Amino acid sequence: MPVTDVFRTACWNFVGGDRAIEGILRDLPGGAGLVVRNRLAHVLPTVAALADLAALRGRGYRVRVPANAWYAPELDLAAPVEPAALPALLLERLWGIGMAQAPGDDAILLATGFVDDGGAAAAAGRRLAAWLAGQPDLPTAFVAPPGWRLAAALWPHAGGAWSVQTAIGRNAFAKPGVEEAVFERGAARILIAAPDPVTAMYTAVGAADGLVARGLAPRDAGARVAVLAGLWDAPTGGPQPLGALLDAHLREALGVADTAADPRVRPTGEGIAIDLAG
Amino acid sequence: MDGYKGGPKRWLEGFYGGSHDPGEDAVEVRSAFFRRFLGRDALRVPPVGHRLVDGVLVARPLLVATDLQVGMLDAQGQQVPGGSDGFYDTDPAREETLAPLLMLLERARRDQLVTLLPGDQHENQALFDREALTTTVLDPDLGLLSARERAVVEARFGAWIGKRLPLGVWEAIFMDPADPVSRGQAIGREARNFLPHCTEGVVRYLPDVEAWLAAEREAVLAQAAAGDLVPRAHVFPVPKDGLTVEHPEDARGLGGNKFDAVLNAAFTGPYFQGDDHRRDKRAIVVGCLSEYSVRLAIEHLIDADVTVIWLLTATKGLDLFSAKLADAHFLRERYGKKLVVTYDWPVELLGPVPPGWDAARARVVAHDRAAMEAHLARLEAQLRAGVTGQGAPLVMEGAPLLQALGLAGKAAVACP
Repeated sequence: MPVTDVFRTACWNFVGGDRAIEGILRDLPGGAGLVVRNRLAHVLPTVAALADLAALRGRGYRVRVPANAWYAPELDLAAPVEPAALPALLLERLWGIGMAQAPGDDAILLATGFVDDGGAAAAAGRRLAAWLAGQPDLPTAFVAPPGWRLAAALWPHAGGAWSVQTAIGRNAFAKPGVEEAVFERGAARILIAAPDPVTAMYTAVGAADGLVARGLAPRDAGARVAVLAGLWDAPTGGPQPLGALLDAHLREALGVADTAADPRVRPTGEGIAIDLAG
Repeated sequence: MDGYKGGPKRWLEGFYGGSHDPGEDAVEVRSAFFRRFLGRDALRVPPVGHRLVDGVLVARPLLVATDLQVGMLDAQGQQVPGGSDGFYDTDPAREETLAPLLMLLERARRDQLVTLLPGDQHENQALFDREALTTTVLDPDLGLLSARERAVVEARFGAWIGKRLPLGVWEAIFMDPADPVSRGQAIGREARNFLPHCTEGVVRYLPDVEAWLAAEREAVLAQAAAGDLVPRAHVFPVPKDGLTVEHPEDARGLGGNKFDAVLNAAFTGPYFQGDDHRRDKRAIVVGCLSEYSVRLAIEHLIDADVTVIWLLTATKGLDLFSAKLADAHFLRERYGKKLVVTYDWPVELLGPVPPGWDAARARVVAHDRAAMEAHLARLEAQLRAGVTGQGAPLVMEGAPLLQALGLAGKAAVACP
């Protein structure tokens, strides 16, 4: 018999607002089944947070997001979309977060995931370093997974950085130390930089959640967060229906085990619904 | 917490301090205060480590040296305006515990002992942001306000009723220009309840401590320049804003107690848990003042199941209304199983006695005994008379009690 927890929170995922679910999840055995449903703007960051929790605790879950159990009134799921355009489209439509080329006034940059991997992240790090060279006064926080070195091109910028620390997962704000550092600065805007769109997207939503938790309406919070454009290579491939791209995103980027429609579940309400033992 | 099904417990063995995870060599702790003194906000805190004593591995102690901050006083003993407003006189001739303290710090620096430097950082009036929103909403029921507050609201701030108040408006309503302490300004709790001291942005660590922190900063930045994302350090300055080392978290549960974060990290690593290892969790406590922060740090550490070595030789007291040995008696009586008190250099924990220690020790012992004798005479007289050192009644009743509670002139009414 599934046990359902519905979290009615202004935040986009439970990490931003209600961490009680963490305690519930911690008590579940490894491989436990979960169903996440309701509004897509909640479902995506919640599923991402579950994947991050699994990476953090070394205990994974079998997450299902049945295709009939989420809804997204902001999106036309049949519309053809270039894969490269997906991150910007989701950020803007679901959470009101824009892409940006410049930081704007009174901003802090959170750069996450630029590790010295000798590959894509390091290359993105070189792009970010070149961009940072033109932003000498921009306060910056760097985050990378434990055990990794920062991309070498960014070392000179880390020397005087506002914060440098480790964090695991897609949403760097899930680590209290990152939220503490970024909000300690008291900047009006938060600019997110990442070497891939998944990390950028969920960290940006985490930043918006931090603002929501401090009293801003979700749309106002989104307007104060942006993702730095031009750091990652655009994925190739022709246009596909948005619904198909989202399905692939859930399975490939977030590790969802099953997205098949399930007549036994349906979306309810506006909160985050997680069916345990689902 | 896993492993205990009742209410949350903070220092459960095997779960909190004293954890063991093979290969784990440091724990990352973040504090804005680290950035200020050590150049990075996130640092790796190593475990205390061990030293070999007669072929046996002995866990090294954690050093907790509290409020090592300079007090700049003029010839009359008055605070020099704008000067550091801590408690340490930097002239060893006037502060006999300073020389042994510096010997201890030098050894900690040389041997890279994990060291916590809690330091008061009390509110500085110049740092209040009067445009920041407080958590206070001005209630439409003005009857909840005092007559003075109500008059201020009615005259100037009626438009704020029902709204969250910026600090500047809050200050204008709730702080009384006629109050002799606040003079109508937002003011820190310590300055209001005691005396202004250890003001953030004004108070400074002792010169030797600042030199130590500067050297540690160089080491941290060298690691960072070599590509270490989160460098390792051994000495950790930690801010506190009251008597206790506890530092409150904000409304999001962030920014809180870094003292305990370092404490936990220091006793991570090879087994600091269970009946055969628990006593390896040792902390040497020194600093000032014995009557306040030192005492509360000791009680906090004991609460965290740490065995405390209170090194009186390197601990300063005010000697105004108590005596270091009286405080030692107070604590030993209550926590005898977890606290040892000594003037001796603990060779097994710190290595050879530094030159000059014995002479410095003798001076401190003589001072402390004299202070105790003076205190005993005062204390006995005060207890017999039922008064404090300021002549205030020890136990209060009647009008003085109501006066102290702010209830003077308020007639008792029957509760419905």
